[in-house]
Amino acid sequence: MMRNKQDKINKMKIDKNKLNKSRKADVKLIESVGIMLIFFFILVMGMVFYARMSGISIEQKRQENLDRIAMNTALKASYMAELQCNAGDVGEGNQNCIDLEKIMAFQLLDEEAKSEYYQSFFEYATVSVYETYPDTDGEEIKLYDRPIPKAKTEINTLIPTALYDSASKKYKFGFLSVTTYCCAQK
Amino acid sequence: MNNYGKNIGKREAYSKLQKKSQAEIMGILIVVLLLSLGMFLVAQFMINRGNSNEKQEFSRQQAAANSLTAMLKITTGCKGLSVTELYQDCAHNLPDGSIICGTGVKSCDYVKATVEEVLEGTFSENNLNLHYYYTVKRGDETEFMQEKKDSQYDKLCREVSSKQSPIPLTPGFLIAELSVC
Repeated sequence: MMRNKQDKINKMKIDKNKLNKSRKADVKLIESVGIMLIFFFILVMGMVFYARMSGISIEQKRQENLDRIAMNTALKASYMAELQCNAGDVGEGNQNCIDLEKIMAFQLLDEEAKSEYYQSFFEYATVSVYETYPDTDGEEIKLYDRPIPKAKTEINTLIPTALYDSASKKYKFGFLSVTTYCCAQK
Repeated sequence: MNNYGKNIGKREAYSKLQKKSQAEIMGILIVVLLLSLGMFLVAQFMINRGNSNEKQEFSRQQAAANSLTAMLKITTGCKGLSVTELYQDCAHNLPDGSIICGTGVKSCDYVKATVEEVLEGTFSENNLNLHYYYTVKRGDETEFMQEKKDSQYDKLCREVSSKQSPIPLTPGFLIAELSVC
């Protein structure tokens, strides 16, 4: 009778040990699963962050390229021999100066021939000149106009410049405006 | 036999402990690797972001250099003289200048008013939409002959592009400086 009771107690102890081990294993399993979940959550968050930043970076690179094209076109326009002043000696005096007589002559050129000839030079852009001093409401004179219809991006670059009127031998102040276009909308 | 058993138990416990610490080191290594990767990506994005001001920088430099050189060339309404010539007369005959312009205004006041008008028009919202600070002084002096500042210049300007242009005098020279942001 006594031995039976002892056996029962022993069996209960073994069961209790088994139960404890099984609980410990459960806790460890839950812990591992939790760590895995957190790890994958962080991984996914990282991937989302990277994808977004890459998107921004690509858009930024595109914008930088467009800016560079705009700057190049503006510089090309401002150093065009067809427009630059040639009064006096060649040197700094002639830099950053546009001859109004040359502009008038440039305007008289055939539009189609001009557009065709300068297309490789300016591509899709509008180049114009306007005066701000002494005439503050100076008329805008278009030199080249080839826009993209419904362009996605238009970048305008203004270059302050001296305008030389060789008829009156006077220098005026104005702007060379260069607008570059990119990418037709679908 | 009893001691032998105890030793085996100790060895097993030691090997378990070693395995556990190895696993922990691996975990730390992974965390360090992930952190370095994250920091590398953040640094890369920060560097890329820094390049995006190229166009603004170009615009500022062009605005400062071209505005100043073109402005000094302008033929004014004062006896057909240029801004440079009026500054020269003003500097040689301070404080008012010797040339009397059409409206009775002397060269110093006339050139200052003309330059201010051109600057306001050039940097207005309709045109360049930038802030400016313009000064003219003798090369060997610290006192300004002319000083004109945009009302928002001090408040908003951090990165500035400047251009200096000398105006020859006999003897000496004036320095005109235009800072733009």
